[in-house]
Amino acid sequence: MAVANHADFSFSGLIVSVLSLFLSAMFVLSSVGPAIVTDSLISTAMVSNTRYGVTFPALNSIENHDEDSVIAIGSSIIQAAVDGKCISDSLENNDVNVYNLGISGANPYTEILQIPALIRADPELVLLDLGPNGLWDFKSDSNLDEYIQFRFTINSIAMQHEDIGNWTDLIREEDMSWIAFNEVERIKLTQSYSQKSFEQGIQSKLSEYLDSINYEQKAPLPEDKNWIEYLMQPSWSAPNFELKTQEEIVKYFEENMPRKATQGVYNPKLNDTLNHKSYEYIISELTNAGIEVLLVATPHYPMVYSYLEDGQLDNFNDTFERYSSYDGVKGVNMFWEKWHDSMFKDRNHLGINGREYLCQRLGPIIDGILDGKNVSEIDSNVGTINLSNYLEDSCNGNDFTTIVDEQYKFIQAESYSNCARGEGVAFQDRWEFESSSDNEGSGFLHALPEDSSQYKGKIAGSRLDYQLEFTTEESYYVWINMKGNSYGNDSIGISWKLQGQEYLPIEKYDSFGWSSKGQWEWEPEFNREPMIINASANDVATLSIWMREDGVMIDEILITTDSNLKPKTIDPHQLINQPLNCEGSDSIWQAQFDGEVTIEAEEYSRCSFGEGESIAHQWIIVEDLNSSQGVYLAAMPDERVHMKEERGPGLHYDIYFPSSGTYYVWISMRGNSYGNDTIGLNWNFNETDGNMSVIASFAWNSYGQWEWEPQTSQVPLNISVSGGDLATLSVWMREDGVEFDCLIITNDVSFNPYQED
Amino acid sequence: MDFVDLDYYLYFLPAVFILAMWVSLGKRKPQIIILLLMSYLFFWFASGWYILLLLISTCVDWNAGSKMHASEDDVIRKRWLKASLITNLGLLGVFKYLDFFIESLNLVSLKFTDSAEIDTFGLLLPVGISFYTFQTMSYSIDIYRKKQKPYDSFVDFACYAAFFPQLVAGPIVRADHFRKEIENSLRIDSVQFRLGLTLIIYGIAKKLIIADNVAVHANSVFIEGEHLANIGLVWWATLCFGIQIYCDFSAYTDIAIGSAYLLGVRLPENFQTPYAATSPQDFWRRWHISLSTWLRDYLYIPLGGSRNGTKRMIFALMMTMLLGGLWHGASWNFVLWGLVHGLLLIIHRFGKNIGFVNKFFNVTGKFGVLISWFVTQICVFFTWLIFRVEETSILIPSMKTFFGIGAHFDLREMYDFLPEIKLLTAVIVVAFILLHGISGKVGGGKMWLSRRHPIIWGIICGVMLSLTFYLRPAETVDFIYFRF
Repeated sequence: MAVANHADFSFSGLIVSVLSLFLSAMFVLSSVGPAIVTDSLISTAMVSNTRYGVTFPALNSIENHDEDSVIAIGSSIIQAAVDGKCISDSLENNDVNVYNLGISGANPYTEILQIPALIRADPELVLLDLGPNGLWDFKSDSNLDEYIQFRFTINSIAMQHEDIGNWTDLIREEDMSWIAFNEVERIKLTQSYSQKSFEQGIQSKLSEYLDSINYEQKAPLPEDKNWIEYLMQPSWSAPNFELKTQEEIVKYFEENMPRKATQGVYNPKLNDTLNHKSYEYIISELTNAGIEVLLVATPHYPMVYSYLEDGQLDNFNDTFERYSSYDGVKGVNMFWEKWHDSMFKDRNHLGINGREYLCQRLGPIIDGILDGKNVSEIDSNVGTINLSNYLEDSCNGNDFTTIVDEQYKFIQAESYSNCARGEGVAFQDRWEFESSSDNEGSGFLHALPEDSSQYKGKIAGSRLDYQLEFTTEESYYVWINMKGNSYGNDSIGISWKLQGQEYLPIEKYDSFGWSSKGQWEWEPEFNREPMIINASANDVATLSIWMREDGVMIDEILITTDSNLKPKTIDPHQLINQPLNCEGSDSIWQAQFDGEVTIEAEEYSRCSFGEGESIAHQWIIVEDLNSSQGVYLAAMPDERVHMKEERGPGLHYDIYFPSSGTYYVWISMRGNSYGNDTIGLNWNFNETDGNMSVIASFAWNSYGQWEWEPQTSQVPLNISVSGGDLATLSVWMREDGVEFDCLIITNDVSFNPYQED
Repeated sequence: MDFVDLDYYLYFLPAVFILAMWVSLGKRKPQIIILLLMSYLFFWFASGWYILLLLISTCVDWNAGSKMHASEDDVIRKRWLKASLITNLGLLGVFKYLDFFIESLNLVSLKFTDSAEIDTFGLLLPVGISFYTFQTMSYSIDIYRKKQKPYDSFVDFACYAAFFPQLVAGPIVRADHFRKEIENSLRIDSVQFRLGLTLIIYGIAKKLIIADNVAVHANSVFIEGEHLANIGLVWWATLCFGIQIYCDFSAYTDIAIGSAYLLGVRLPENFQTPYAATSPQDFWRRWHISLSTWLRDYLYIPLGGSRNGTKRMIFALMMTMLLGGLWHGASWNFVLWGLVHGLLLIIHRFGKNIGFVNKFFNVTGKFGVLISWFVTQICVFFTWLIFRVEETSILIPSMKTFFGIGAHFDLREMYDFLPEIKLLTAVIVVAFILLHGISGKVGGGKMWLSRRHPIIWGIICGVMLSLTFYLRPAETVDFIYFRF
C-alpha cells in the first residue's frame, strides 16, 4: 500500500508517535489515575465513608506485612464489633495482627470481589460476619442497586486484573457494567471520581498555605505510619444510644422495630439467595486455599428480641449451623446472648463497651483456633472472663461521712463515700486509684482508660460521692487538687445536693492551662470562682464529682469557709487551721463597785474568728513568766495585716454589773512597731454593739514594753450600767503581732494602773 | 457526530485518513472524491436530511459562479448573484430566523393588539448553515466582483463547501485558499502529522478541561440566577464564560485545523490570543478572524466602510456589528451584543484621536498599554455577559451588578453557591490566564511540540490526553458555535 507521496513521511515515525502516545496515556490512565483516586477515596471526604475504598489497599498492605494476620470482613456489624488492636494485644500468639475490614452496608454479595485479594493476603483466619441481616434476598429490592453500583465501582478502581476470579459467575447482569473486567473499563470507572480527587488534592495542598481553605485528612494513607493501626481499629462512628435516655430508646424501638421486624434483615432465608451463594463462594474459596473461617454473629440490642416471633430467625440458626459444619469453618453464634444495654451503639451495632467485651470473648477463641483447637472447647473458657466488669453496674465507696468542722477541711479523693459507674458509653471509664508518695494521702484517682473520651451534655461519666455534715451555717467553698495532661483530659463535673434534694447544676473544673501544663493544681483558678455550698448547721449534703474527660486525675478536695483563699498563691495545707466553732471558758466576770476586777486575756468567755484577710489569724497563747499569770495572747501570724474594714478574731468577756455606775476598761498590751500595736475594743450591751475604741500601744518612748492602755490622754472605754446588767466586752485583733495580757474593769474614773500596780 | 464524539476519533477520522492518504494511492482526484463523500457522510451523521440544504447551496453557488464567470453581461451576472444571495440568505432566513421573527412579532402584537398569535414552524437549526452559506456566498460574490475564477470541477467546489473539518463551525474558508490547498495531491509529512494530532489533542484538552469545567460555574450563576447582587459571583461567572467561549470555539477550530492537517489541507487560523487585545479593534483582529474578515469584506466595505465620511462609517460599522451579532443566533441578546461591540468600536475610533487621550498613551508607555488592555478586557467580558444571558430577568440585574450598581461582595456566599468542583476550576482559570498571556507573548507551543522526537511528543501528548480524561467534568457540553 502506498503512503502519501512525500519523502518526509516516515511510517516508523508515525508508529512510534502513536505508540508512545498510547503507552504514556495508558500508563497515566491505568496507574497514576487510579492511584490518585484510590488515595482520595480512602483519605478524604470525597465519599461519605472513607472505609468504602479501603478494601484492596488494605489487603495489599496486609499481604506485604510481615506479621501473621486475622482478617474480619463483613458488614457494619463486624466493623463496629471488632477492635483488632485490642484482640491482637490479648492474643497469646504475639505475632498476629487482627484487622477489621468490615464495611458499612456490605452484604456477602458486595464482598465477593475481594476474595482473590484476600486469599493473596494469606491470613491465618478470616472472621466472617454472619448474622440474620446477611441472609435476606435483595433480588427483588432495587434499593440496594445504587449501593452495589457504588461499591463495585469503587472496588474496581483499586482492583488488579488478578482479582478477577470465579466470583464473576455470581454477578448479576445489571451489575456487570460497574465492574472493571479490563483496563479500559477500570479507567472509565476511575474517571467518575477523578475530578473530585483532583479537587481534594488541590484543597489539601492549598490548605498548607491558606488558612481559609479547610481540609481534613479523614483517614491515613497506606504510606502513613498509622495505616496498619487504622486497619485494625477503624474510626468507629459516634455514640448514639449511649447518649439517649432509656425513654428515648424505648420510643425508638416502639416506633421502628415493628416495621423493621417484618423486613428482610429479620426474616432471613434458608438458602439459594444471592447472599447464600456468595457466602458459599467465599467459604469454599477460602477453605480451598487453606484459610480457616470463623463465622461470627454478634447480638443485637436486648429490646430487639421481644419484637421477634418464635421461630422467625430459624433460617438464620440453621444456616449458621450448616455453614459452621463445613470443613475449615468454625462458628461463634452470640446472637442469642443478652448483652448489657450499655454495650450497644444502636439497634444492631456494638458500642465501645461491647467491642471491649467482644475483644475478650474472641481473643481466646482466635488463640485456640490458631493453636488447632475446636471452638466448642475454646468457647467454654469464656467463663474465665470477669463479666461483672461489663455487665454489672457495681461501684462501692466507704460510706464515710466527713464532718466539716474546721476552717479548711481536706478530703482525700480516694475516700469517697459512694460512687456510680458512668452511663452508656461512659460505662467504660472508671476512677482508678494510683498510689503515689508525691500526693496527699497515699495517692490519687485517675480516670481510666485514657482514650480521649469526653462525657458532656447528657452523658454522665463515672461519679464519686462525698458525704458531708456541716456544723455551722456558712458558705463553704470547694477546691479540688487535680491535673490533666492536655486540654482534652483535664476536666471534671462537680455539684452538690442536700439530703433528699436534687443536685444543683453541674459545674466544670478543669486543670490544664497555658500556664499550668500538666501540674497538680488547686482548681478552679484562672479567674473562675469555686463552687459554693450554702449549708446550715447540721445539714447533710453530698458533694459529687463526675468524670468529664478521661485521663483527668484528682488528689484532694478542700472545703473551706475562707472566701478569700487563693490556693495558687499559698498552699492551703500551710494555713493555720482552726475549728469553725470558736470555744471559750463560758465564764461570767463580775465587776466590782469601788474596786476593780482583773481579767486574764486567755480567760475569755467566748471567741470568734476573724473575717476577710484575718480569717486565718488567731489569738495564740504564749507562755511568758514576765506576763500576768505566766501567759499572754499574741495575734498571729504576724504578717502586718491590718483588720480595719473587717473584724479580726475577737475575744469576748461577759461581765456582770451588780451595781449601777460607769465602768472603765484598761488593757495590758504591747506591740513591736506602729504597725502591730492596736486592738479594737467595744461593749455589747442590750444586744447592741457599742462604738469601737481603737487602742494603740506602741509609742516613741515605750516601744516593745508592756503598757497599760490607754496611757495617753485618751479616756478609757467605759460603759454606764444599771445594777444587775450583763454586758460583753469584746477585744478585737486590729493589727496582727499585737500582744494582749490582761484587762482591768473599774468604776474609778481616776484609776491609774501604774500607781496601783 | 461531532468533535466531542469518541467515534469521530476512533473510526471516522482514521478511516478518512487511511482512505485519503493510502487507499487513494496519493492521487488527487480520488482523494478529493473521498473527502467529499466522507464530508457528506459526516454531515449526514450530524444533521441527517438537512444535507439537502447543503446540496442546494452548493448547486446554486456552483451554477451562479459558472454563469457569472461565463457572462460579461452585468444583468445576467447580477441575476445570478441575486440567485446566490437569495438562496443562501433565504436558507438562513427560513431555518435560522423565521421562527425568531414570528416569535418577536407575536410578542409585539401581544403587547399592542389582540390579534391571534402566529404559529411558529418549529424548525431545527441545520448544523453549520451559518458557515457554509457564508462560504458559498463569498465564492459567488468574489466571482461577481471578478476577484477570482470559479472552480474547474464541481467535485472540488462541493468539497470546498462541505469539507467536514470546518463544515460545522468554521473557520470560514475563502474559496481561493481552499483551491490552492487542493490543487495538488494531498500530502503530509511526519511533522505535519504530529502537528495535526497535537492540534486535535490541544483542542480536546481545551474543550474538556477548560471550557467544560468553567462552563459549570458560569451556568450555575446565569441559569439559576441566584445571588446576582453579589459582584464577586457575577464577575467570576462572566470571567468563566469568557474563558469558556474562547476555549470552546478555539478548541473546535484547533480540532478542525488539526483534522485538516492530517488530510494534507491547511485551514486558516481563527484566533490570535484575543484576550491580549488592547482595544476593541484589536480584539476583532484576534477573535473569530475568519468571520470578522468576512464581515469586513462582504458587509462593512460594501456598506460604505471608512472612506465615505464619518456618518457612513458609523452606519456601516453599526450595521455590520448588529448583523454580526444576529449571525450568532436568533436572539435579541446577540443583537445587543453586536450593538455594544459596534459602540465600543466607534468610541475607540473617535476616542483614540482625542488630544489628551493620545498624550496620555504617549506619556505612559507600557503602563498605558496595560490600562488599555484592562479597559478593553472589561468591555469585552461585559459583552460576554450580554452574549451569555438570554433571559432578561437575569441579564439586567447581572449587568447592573457587573458595574457595581446595588452590588455587594460576599466571598462566603460565592464559595457556598458555586458548584462542588471549585478549587480545580479556580486553578484552571488561573492556568488559562497565565498560558494565554504566555501564548500571546511567545506564540503557542504547537509547532515546537510537533518537531520533538516522536517518543517525547508521544509522552507529552499522552499525559495531556490522560489529564483531559481525568479532569473533564461528568457531563460534556456541546460546542457553543454548533448553535450558530
